[in-house]
Amino acid sequence: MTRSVSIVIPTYNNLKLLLQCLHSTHALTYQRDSLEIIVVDNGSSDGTHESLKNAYPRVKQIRLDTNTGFAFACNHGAASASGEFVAFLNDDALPSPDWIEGLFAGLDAGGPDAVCAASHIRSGDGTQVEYEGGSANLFGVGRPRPIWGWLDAPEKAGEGSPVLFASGGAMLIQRRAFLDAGGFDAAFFAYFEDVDLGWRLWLLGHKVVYAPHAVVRHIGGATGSRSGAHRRYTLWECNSLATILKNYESDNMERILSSALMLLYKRALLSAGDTIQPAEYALTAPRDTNTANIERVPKVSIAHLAAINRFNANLPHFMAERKKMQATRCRSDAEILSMLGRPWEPQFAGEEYAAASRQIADTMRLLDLPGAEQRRVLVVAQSDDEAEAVGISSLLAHHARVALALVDEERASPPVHLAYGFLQHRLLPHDKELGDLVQSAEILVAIGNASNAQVIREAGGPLAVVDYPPGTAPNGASIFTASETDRLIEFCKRQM
Amino acid sequence: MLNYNGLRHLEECFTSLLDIDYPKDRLELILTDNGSTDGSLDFMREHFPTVRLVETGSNLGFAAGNNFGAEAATGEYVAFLNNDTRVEPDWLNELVKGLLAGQGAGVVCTSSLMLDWAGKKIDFLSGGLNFHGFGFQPSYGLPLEGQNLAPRDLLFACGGSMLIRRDVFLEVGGFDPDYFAFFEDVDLGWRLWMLGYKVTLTPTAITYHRHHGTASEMANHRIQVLYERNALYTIYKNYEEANLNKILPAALLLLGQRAVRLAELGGVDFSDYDLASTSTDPSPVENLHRNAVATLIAVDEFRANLAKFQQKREWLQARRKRSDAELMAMFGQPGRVHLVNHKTDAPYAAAHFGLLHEFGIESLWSHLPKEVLVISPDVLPVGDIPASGSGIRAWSLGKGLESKGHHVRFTMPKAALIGREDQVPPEYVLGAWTPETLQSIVDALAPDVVVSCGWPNLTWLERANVPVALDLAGPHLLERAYQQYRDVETNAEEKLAALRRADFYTCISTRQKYYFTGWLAQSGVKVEDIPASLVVIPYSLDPAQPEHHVREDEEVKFVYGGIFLPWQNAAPALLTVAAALEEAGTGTLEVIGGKHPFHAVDTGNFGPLVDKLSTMSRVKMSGLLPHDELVERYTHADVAVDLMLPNAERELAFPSRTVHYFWCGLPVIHAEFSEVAPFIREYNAGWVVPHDDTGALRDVVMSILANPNIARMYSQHAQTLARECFSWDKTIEVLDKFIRNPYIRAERSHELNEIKVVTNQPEAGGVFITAAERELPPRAKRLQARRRSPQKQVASRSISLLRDLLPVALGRNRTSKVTGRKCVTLSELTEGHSHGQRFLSPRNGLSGARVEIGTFGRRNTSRLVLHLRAHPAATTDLYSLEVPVHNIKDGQPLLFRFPSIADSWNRWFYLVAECPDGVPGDAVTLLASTRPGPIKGQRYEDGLPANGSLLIDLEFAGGDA
Repeated sequence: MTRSVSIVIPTYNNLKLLLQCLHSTHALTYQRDSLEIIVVDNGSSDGTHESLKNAYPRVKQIRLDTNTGFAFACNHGAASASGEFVAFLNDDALPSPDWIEGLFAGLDAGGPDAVCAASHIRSGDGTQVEYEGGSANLFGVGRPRPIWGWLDAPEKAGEGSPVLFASGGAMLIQRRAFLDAGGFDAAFFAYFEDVDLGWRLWLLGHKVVYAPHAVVRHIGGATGSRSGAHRRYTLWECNSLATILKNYESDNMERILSSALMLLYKRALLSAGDTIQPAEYALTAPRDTNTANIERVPKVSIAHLAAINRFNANLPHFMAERKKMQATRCRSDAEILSMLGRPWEPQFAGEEYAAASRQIADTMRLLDLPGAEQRRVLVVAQSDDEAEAVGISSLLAHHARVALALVDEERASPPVHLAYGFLQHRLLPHDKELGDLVQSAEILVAIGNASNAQVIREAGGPLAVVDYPPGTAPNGASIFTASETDRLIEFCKRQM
Repeated sequence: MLNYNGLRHLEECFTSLLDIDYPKDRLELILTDNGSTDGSLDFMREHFPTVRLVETGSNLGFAAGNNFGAEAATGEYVAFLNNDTRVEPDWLNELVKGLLAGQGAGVVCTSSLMLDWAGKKIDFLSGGLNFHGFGFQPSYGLPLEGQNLAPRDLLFACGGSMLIRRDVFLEVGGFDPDYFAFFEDVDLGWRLWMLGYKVTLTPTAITYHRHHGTASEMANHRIQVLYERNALYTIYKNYEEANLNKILPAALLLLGQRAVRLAELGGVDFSDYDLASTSTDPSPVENLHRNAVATLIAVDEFRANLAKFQQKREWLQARRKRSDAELMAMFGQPGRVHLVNHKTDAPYAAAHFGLLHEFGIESLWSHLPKEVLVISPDVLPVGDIPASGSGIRAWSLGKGLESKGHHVRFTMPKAALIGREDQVPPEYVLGAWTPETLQSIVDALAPDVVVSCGWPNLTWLERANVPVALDLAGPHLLERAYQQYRDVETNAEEKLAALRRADFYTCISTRQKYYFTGWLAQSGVKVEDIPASLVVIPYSLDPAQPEHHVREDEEVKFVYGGIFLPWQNAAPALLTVAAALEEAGTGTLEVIGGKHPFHAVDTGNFGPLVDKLSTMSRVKMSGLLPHDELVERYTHADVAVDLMLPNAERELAFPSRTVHYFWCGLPVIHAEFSEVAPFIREYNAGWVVPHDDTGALRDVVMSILANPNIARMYSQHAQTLARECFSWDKTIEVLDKFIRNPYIRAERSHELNEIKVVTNQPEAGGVFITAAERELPPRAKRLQARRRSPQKQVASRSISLLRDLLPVALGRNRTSKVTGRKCVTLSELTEGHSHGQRFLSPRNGLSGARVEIGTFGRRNTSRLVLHLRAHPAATTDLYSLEVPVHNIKDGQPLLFRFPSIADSWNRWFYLVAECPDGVPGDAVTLLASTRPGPIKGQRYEDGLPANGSLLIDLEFAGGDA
């Protein structure tokens, strides 16, 4: 029997793209009578209602009189939906004709616990990948990238691979599970409500999975991106704090929240750039001429304070949600932390911030959090023609041993902390795929002369070189012999 | 003594130090110089050669500089003294004595009492600390007189003048050098206690301080960095693990809220940061006040030093001898809303209490006593002045809270004490409030909670920046109406505004709860919150009752006591009782009462009643008595006559005098309609009769005269009733619950107060904080503009409800002194309002109009302007008249004469009056009839047609109409 699906499209003053979006939903190949399309209008004033009434009279319209935000509109749509499943779709996104089939393929491959499937989202012109898996750092900041563990293993990245969250821009969820979980948190308004939902679904014992063949093109230009950056920053910052507050176990929540706050204030300062000169705030500094005592600061910096203001104002709500969540959770933080995929990924560029993150992780004892010990280790080996000629090279064999040792040592479940990418044939400096891998790795382990590759030499960050002919390893690399597996594991654990 | 460029202080300070009477052979004077460049050292060498000079080489800050001096010192004890001080000759002797006295008990450090330079006001009397590490000096700036100057344990000694055992000081690491300056003394005290030592106050050691002599030269935002950072250092090092984990995130969030408020005060409009905002300010940058930036820098410095402080923390925690719970009891006010350098307001305080509640932190100290300030609207029962019911109500709430362990201070209106200052204890005179000082009293005392008795007080609290419990004991609005105090609209709006400034409400009876529920809803309190935040506390008195004297062989004595008020009518009852006594030829009735001792309240019909009663043979009259004397009379009487005619006010009241009668052992004769009646029946504490059944009343009196023993038995019942139902220790529990876990209503967190922004202008006169009036931020303005209209709507709804309750129509019926017509006083002609009348002239030659003026029985100062126009929409005058109103009497006619208009017959004219500068309480009005007048026309109010007609007479050339 065909499962019924309600596509819920929240919109706000975005008529032109919405019409395109609806056009492609009408080209969906999914069985028509099992499909319902609901547009939730967040109080548009651009004639959305009349245009839709004329162009798509069969589309169900729900009109809200003010802009209540993405999260609330989705909840409202889901509550009024009649389908067994709800598919959320951004008004600036164009699904492929077989989108729904693709979503179900992923969902079904995920097994009986899977209630939510994520699409594969590409940019409008199709050249860029915008979402191919959901991960997050320790501080609730979501990334549309895979949980590191299956990045380089295409066979794992197939149907039904676990993701922390599905992008709210194009996802499928069992309506019952969505409503029982309380839907999106409407207080988020927009941004990261999907991270929080995914996190909660996992806490409740569900699975969120990836559906690589459910392809959606995202034109961009939705409401949020048209608004000032400072408004988006406010929500990003506030909502990631809320995700921490709601979802972590008590002991962890307090420590992680304190850490997140210190880092938030650091970002506020850093994003002010040189408009704030900390030296001027030293008691012993000479007096300057700024008698008005006003700094001219980027709004994106002040947005961090706006986020605190918003968070504090919504604290009773977030705490009430926290109580509910903690009372009903059935997975531990250790399980979730190992699902994050990118616990240590800094959310701000630059060495100063990275250093602050490391220092916080160290002094706030975050490194000890069970499940968060995972590091994104990329093991690179080169299998050259010679090696191939003799079958499996001894270096590859060693690489496998190191990899297995690391996995074994951590015993994280699921064991997603390790990735080992290696190229079968050649290692070219311009190989883009390897470049991406190297960029998102925290620690590089180069086996043998793989470290010769320019992309590895220039990568920066911790680099371990195993079995390299003495004397020619890149500067700053730590050198290991093939038998020093224990030392290598220790090295990986210590890096942040 | 630590010195950094303090040359100008040195002479005075060292002169006083050389004068101290401590044995010179056991005294070493050290000046630790922190790298001064103002010639301090040369000055010392020249003028005070006996003082040892120790040079740090550079400015190490207060903490490390003092450590440097202590290390160089040779004494067994080391005393730290600020350079901007002078000391009493016995300062050191007293400190040493004070410390030695406690040494056996573990005292290693003692603090001097610090006064201001003139010795009149408190600088440091004790040290307090709030949960996020902000130290404060309770009683700072308050007069020395009336303070408790007993020796005591202190959480910390004042770093500016203290004595400590040198070995212990060095062993615990001295002041934490990373603090540089500020709060290092707080941290030292906390560490000493944690490590098992004790710190005390030696109040007999006296230091005088030129406050912030050095700090005044530092830029405010730089000081802010140190305060914020050092507070974080302090809590990070000193709390137990579990408490630190719980408190640190809340402290960091609250710090952000401080930055938010500072940013707002500096002009940031946070509504622009809302994604739903439709405003399109294209600028990617905006102004941020440096004090807001300072908080961010403070956190970052804290973060950068975490590893170092982790080690300090581990060292300390491993040596902990006392628990956080023990130490928190010494904080004084762990939940205090406190900002350094800045005033607080409701939005900040709301975030403060919200975080305490949501993170479960308040429960760490909800068992500890709170500092409570009770604002009384009237004379308190202290000293020799007669107290009113509302003063006793305030007293009983405060005393009830004291019975739960809280520290309660009272303040009563200064106006009530004028000319009688010597009749009350001095602390009540010093602490008395005026409308101008109420806010500064709250700021100075910084109580945990304010209990305001009556809403009018809150009108004067411009920033209700702490949780406020409001006792609504009486239907004050009705009382105002009876007094014809302002017009009902103004009063209602004022009341709604005052209700919005409170967080928790108490009232005196179940009926009042119903009555106030409507008011609270209309003031914006969430309806679903009202049942929990509006509680009933009956009028209550001391559980210790006076002894009632049984007077076996004397005549039965009836009493009536209390202030004569216009909304009370006891005449029929008192006359009936007096007549019955005359008829029976036995018994007496004593009427103790008089005009309100302080408010200018009309005595209503008591005047004629008193005249009449004075002529009756068994009646004795006496004026109002001080509380003690009144109790003396009551306890020597037998029955209280407590029967009044019903009206809206009386039906809502739970009379204080009745409870007072019970408390004194007087059974009462009481009206059936009152909410007290069921209590009387239940306890047999008196007699309940219908208010209008004089026959029944007479029968009761006769039965008492016939069998006085009944009264004597009921007397015991009355005291049992008072003890069981109306004792303050029993009835206070519902308020105590709020006091222990106080909060600010979420709705109040949006009030953007017109707080004075602190600007940093150290150049201008060296003042530490200078406040300048500042424009409201644009959002606040918009909010205010938007709020106005629903407020008005709500007010008018309330007023229409109120009109039904009022015994008279709006404006109260009266009679024209000119024509004898029945009429009413219209609403005050405040700025922007007008009263007008359109009329059809019945004759030619119109030359004048006479209106009648209402003054609300007071002397007004504004001007009255009358315009004659062609019609209500006209903007130009045909003629106008402007008169000052200060000499106009109530009901006086005012003639508006103008050149006669020859062809006025059958033409429409519009006469309109306004007071262009009238304000509530100072404006006149016109009188009007509720019916159409003899001249054809239409009455107008604020330019809109209204019912009735102005009292207006026309004049025509050649004779009146």
